[in-house]
Amino acid sequence: MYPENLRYTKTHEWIKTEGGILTLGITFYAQEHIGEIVFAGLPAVGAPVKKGARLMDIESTKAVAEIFSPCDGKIAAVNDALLDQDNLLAVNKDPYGDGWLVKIETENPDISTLMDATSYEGFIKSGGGPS
Amino acid sequence: MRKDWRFFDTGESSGFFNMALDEAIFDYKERNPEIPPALRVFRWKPACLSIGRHQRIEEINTARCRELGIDVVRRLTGGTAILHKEELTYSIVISQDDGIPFGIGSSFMILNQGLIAAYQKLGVKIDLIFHQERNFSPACFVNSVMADLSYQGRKIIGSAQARRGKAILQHGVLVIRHEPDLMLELLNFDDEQRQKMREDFSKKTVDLETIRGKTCWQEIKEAIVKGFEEFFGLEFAESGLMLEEKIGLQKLISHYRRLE
Repeated sequence: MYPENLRYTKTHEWIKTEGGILTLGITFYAQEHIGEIVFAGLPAVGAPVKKGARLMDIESTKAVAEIFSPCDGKIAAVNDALLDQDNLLAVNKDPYGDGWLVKIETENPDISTLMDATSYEGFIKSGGGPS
Repeated sequence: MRKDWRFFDTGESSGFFNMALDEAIFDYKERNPEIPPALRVFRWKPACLSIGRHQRIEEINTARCRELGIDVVRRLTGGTAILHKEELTYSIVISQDDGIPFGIGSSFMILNQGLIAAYQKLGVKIDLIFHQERNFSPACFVNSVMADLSYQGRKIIGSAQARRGKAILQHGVLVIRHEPDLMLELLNFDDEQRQKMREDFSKKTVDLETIRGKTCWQEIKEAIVKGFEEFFGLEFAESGLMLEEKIGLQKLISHYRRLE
């Protein structure tokens, strides 16, 4: 449920780094609690992003959840497939694969301070709210 | 759950003001989770059609809205269009630090107990809705989803949430009287959709006036305050806005005036 090769934030995003590119999605825990996703408000490719600032939002049948950027940089790619309503369920069914959300190009791709899979599982078992 | 809450009755205001104020309180709570949760009740003048955060503007007959003097505003929350006319709207801003769970379903289930208690005060027994529809109408009230509330199987209260960090905004409408014919004029329907919506409104929704006769917003306000106080054991403090909330409100109003 929580792949070993990813890192995790306290706000329930997963992050993967390849070179200077971070890939981001929401975790299994997050999708389970937010419910069926009906819209992904993806940012524009090339848009600058700032660590801690709002990056995008996702809408489920009863809630809109905002997602924050883990780093400074710019949007390198977005998961265009999610613009098609029929593909949105990938965020629920395959959150670490076809359900990825954005890629961010950054000069500071270090994610070692984020939680690994074991720590994240411990975090959600202990209550799971952001702190 | 935390017991000391702030309470606001901000009276009648434009849709732009109302949605900007919801976001200003929500935004301040996200940055200051230690301040008490807030319950606000408010009304809309002029009447206003609020549309979902990602709803297509093409679904709305904006020209007809203008002709009738009805504002159109985009909500921070999702879903589809709601006509705010004969009703009272509530909004709750609370943080996960205040004892509300992360799960959308479980948080709705807890907060909606306050609404159930409020309607009991009005002599109306309502229940949570657990089933979920998949094909959404452009008109919010004919869609029933998890954590809406129903009276004898017909939707009576619709609510939605937004999440920002630890903060939760939940708002919803307590409808005194639906006006489906007016609502139909404000949406771009073809004839088939129009007919279906007319049928759906009468089959799937109900309002307070139909159940209990003439109802005024003051009665609903009183019931909401008492329902929340008693069910959760809350102590409300009538409160003014924090300075930062007022500044946020002023900044956000112009954003809400721009319909994109």
